[in-house]
Order: sequence, then C-alpha cells, then structure tokens
Amino acid sequence: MPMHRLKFHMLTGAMLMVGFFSPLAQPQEAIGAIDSEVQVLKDEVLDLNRELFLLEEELLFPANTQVAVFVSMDVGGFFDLDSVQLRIDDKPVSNYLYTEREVAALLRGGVHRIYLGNLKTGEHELTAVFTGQGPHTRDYRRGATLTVEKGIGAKFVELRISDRDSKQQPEFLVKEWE
Amino acid sequence: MRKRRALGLILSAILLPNFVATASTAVAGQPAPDFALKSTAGENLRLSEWRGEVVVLSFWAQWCGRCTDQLDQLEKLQQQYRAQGVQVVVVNIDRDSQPALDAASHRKLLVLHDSDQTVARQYELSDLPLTVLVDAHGKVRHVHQKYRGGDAALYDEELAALLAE
Repeated sequence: MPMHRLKFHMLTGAMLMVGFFSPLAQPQEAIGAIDSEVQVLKDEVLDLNRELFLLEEELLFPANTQVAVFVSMDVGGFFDLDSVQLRIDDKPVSNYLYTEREVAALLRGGVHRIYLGNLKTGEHELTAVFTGQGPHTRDYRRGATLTVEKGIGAKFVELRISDRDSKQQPEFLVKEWE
Repeated sequence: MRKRRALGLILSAILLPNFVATASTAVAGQPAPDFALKSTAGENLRLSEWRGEVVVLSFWAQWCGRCTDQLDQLEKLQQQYRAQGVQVVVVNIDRDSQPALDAASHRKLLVLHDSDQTVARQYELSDLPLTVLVDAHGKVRHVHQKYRGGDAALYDEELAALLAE
C-alpha cells in the first residue's frame, strides 16, 4: 500500500473514532459541569445559612444584653449527669435532660450551651440545679448559685462539673467569663 | 450573585418569624419538634438522636380506649419493621407514671413519659391518640389524629413508602 494511502486511512480512522466517542464524552462533561455547579450552589447555601444564623443571633440577642450559659464536665467519675435546671432571678429559663450520647460528648471535652437570652444591666442571680447519680449510684441533686453583674457587652457563664478527689465527691462550679 | 444573596437574607428575615411560629407544631413537611424525655427504663432519649431512622411517634393516655387498640397495632408494626430501621416511640401523657410502666412491661414498645405534657403541647396535641410519622431526615411526613380500625394498614403503607425513599 502506498504511503499516502496509508496516511489517508489512518486519518479517516482517527476522525471516525473522534466522531464515535465525542457524543459520549459530551454528556459526561456536561454532568461534570452540573456537578460543580451544584457544589457551588451547596457552598452558597451553607454560607447563606451561616450568615442567617449570625444575623438571627445578632437580632434576637444583641451583644449589650446577651447572656449565654454553658455546661461542661471534667472527668465526671463521681457524677452521672441526668439533667440541669437553670433559674435566673428565680425564674426557670432552661431545663435540659442529657442523653447518654450527650454526656459522653461532655466527657470528651464538649461544651453545651444550655441557655442564650437577654438580661438588663445590673445584678442578677443565677442558680443551676444538677441532678443525676452520685457516688455509689445514689440519686444526687445539688444546686450552685452565682450573682452576676451584667454590664455592657455579652456575658458568658460556665457551669462546670468536676471531681473532687480528696472528698470523693463531685464538685459544681459556676464561673464567669469576660 | 451579591444581589441574590441580599434578597435571600431579606426574604429570610421576613419569613423567619413565621417559621419560628410554626416550627414547634407537627406540620407535615416541617422539622419534627425535638425533645428529650425519660423512658420507663430510666434513660433520657432525644428524638433527634434517631436521625437516619423512620420514627413513629404516638401520644397516648390510659383513659383513652382507642389508644390501647392502637398500641397493639404499633407493637406489631415495631416487630415487622424494626430490622428495617423503624423506631416506634409511644409517649404517655398521664401525670402518674404507672400506666407507662404497665405498658412497657406488657408490650415490646419503647415507652416515654411526658408527665407535665410539655412535649404534647409542643406537638399541639388536641385529640388522642396523636400519631406522627417522622422521616429519616427528621421531618414530619404524616400526622394522624384519633385511631380507627383501618388505620394500621394506612400506617403500614406510609411506612413502606418512607422506607423506600
């Protein structure tokens, strides 16, 4: 076969192959483009959701009146947490039952926001009542009170459950964060 | 893009109060109001921790005759669908805990006790039994008030459809 004829056959074959495969390649490219568009949209939705969340918090709980109370647990060998009741100025504001999974998360270092609200500037009394099982699986109920001075700016309070090894008892602390 | 985002924020700010107002009721298509209650076994259980499973939530009281018939049917449904990822949860709203304890000892059902009816109020309970089917994403899909003989077949049909999704 002459050389120019061989080249012609090879070129025709290549063109046919391109023609044969291109209809398959096109939808795949289109699917890839849609996938990336969907991903971009998902990211935008997540961004929007985050912005909305921040906007909602800003509107409902302005920084100058905001009070947030968190629960944390350190070791917890002497106390199996069941629930926490929170009262501010003798008014119940939160009553939270902790599931096994939530207690496990607290023991792993997680912090739970039990309350987010607004308070006027001035003095306020915060009381937390912890219920659960203490040493020797006895029912245990203990309260902790703190008087907080609400100034301008957000106030953060931590309710910490820890072990007091010397007394073989749990300890309940209420701590203010600036 | 920025305009669209701003429009979205404005729309959401307008619609948000409406959403907040309806979020605590059992409305089909809306997220099921989350709650935690104590079971008759003494453990605290939270609805959102069953995310990924289809949940049949039913509120009942001892004085409600139809509720007893429904509990029998729910027990059958639980046995039929448990392996496929359906959790039947019955919430007793009597003040006294004895009816809940009795139900749990006689039936293979997960019984929670809502003695102060906080969760019942969250679901705007107006008639008993109230049965709410929650899908694997935590959304309310079907709400049934009262109970008639043929309802078990309807629950069966709805559960099968939810599991097929």
